Amino acid sequence: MVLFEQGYRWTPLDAQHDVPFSFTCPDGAAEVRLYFTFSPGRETSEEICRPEVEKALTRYYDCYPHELQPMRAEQFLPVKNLITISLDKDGTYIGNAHRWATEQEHILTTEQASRGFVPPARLSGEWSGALHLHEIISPVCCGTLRIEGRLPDEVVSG
Amino acid sequence: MKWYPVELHTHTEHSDGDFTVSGLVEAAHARGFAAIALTDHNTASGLREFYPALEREGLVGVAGIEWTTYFGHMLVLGEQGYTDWRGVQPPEIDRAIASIHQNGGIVGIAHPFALSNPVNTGYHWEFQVADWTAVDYLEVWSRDDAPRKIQSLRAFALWEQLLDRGCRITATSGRDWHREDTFAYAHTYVGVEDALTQDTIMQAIRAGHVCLAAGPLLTMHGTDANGTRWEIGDDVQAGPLEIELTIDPDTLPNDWDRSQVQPQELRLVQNGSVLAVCPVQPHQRLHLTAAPGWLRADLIGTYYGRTGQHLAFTNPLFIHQRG
Repeated sequence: MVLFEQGYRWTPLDAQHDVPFSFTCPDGAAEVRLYFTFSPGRETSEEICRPEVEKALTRYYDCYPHELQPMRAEQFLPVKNLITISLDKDGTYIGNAHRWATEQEHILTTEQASRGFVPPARLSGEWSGALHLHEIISPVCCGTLRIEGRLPDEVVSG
Repeated sequence: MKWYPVELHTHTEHSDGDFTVSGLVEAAHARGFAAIALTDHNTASGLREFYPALEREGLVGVAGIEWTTYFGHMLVLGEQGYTDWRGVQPPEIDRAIASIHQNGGIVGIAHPFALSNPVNTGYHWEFQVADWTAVDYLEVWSRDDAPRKIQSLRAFALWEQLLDRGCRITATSGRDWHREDTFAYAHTYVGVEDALTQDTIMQAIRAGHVCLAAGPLLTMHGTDANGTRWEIGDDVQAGPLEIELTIDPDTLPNDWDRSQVQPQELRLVQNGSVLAVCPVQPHQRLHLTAAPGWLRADLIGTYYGRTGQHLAFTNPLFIHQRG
């Protein structure tokens, strides 16, 4: 059963903001699955990335001579978008999937949880969380979050 | 006091590292560390695997997390409970640190001047700390090649400014270890009197019983005018001091290249100024009269071809006006 589904469209103005979400899991679910995708994972346009990387380098060097640690913007191109997911169950933090992958699947039961999360004491009840937009450098970055609850022995396609 | 090499900043598959938790602990053991902290980004989910792996390898562990926010990364060690890293705005960091302390944890600012967005997200420290005395430690050296990096020079300068202002903030080195590689890393050593445990490691950091080394380990201890022994991080009264300096070239033999790290001189630095320059020898004893402030020992030399670099340094001894 689908517990939550949402599409997103972000721009660089959304970077460094959280996008909250919440859902309710009914009694009897044996598993909660989160499917999160976003695209593009990296911004390949040099025209977009280079000025931002150069700003970062200027800030890094401050007033120190560049020859102490020579670095060029090209070394850091292309630049990745980074979005992570955190989850709370019944108001208790259960973790964060901090990773770069653009297609993520996270499975939680009361016994096991995908890396980044600890298993909650029970699946039914109120869940909340947030998408953390650590970096959105692409002019448009689109994402989808779909959350499913699965019953014991439920047969699903796809 | 016995000195133990510890790595306080690591990541695994539970965040964006390549290590399994077992692989990380095995790698730490192979390189000679006595203890390791697990500090995945915003999660402690690796702890269930951490403790059995530590037991298998005979290492001591420290439970941690790296707050990975838009405004900086902060290492949190040993918190019994949870302070939410989410939504903390730059002026609110003192309240978060107080909460972590209430939960028995300590906090360290990670790589405060690292290259940041859009390359490394949130790496540059932007939180507005009002009370720097509340920050337990500062990662003065970070990642590989640390002595030569501009971020290290900037972090070192910040550390000295804070010491000059009377803040007792402990310098550490963080490997920020995500995967195995062959780069050159510096090390953190904690000085502990009793058994090495999470608690004694945290207490050593709080107390400033910490040395940093990119090669040989430099340590310092001594006695004050009353003949009372002091260690790095302690408080003594101004006046005559006996200082013993020790260089251990045999430390962590599997984790630094002796041909690339060549000590040239030892310096005693007080309140930012060089007080004495000494030859490099395994043991030496000095007598001097110390003014109020802080006193640190530095090992200076050539690091991968660049002269005049810090190869090792101690955290300070704190000297107070008599009376």
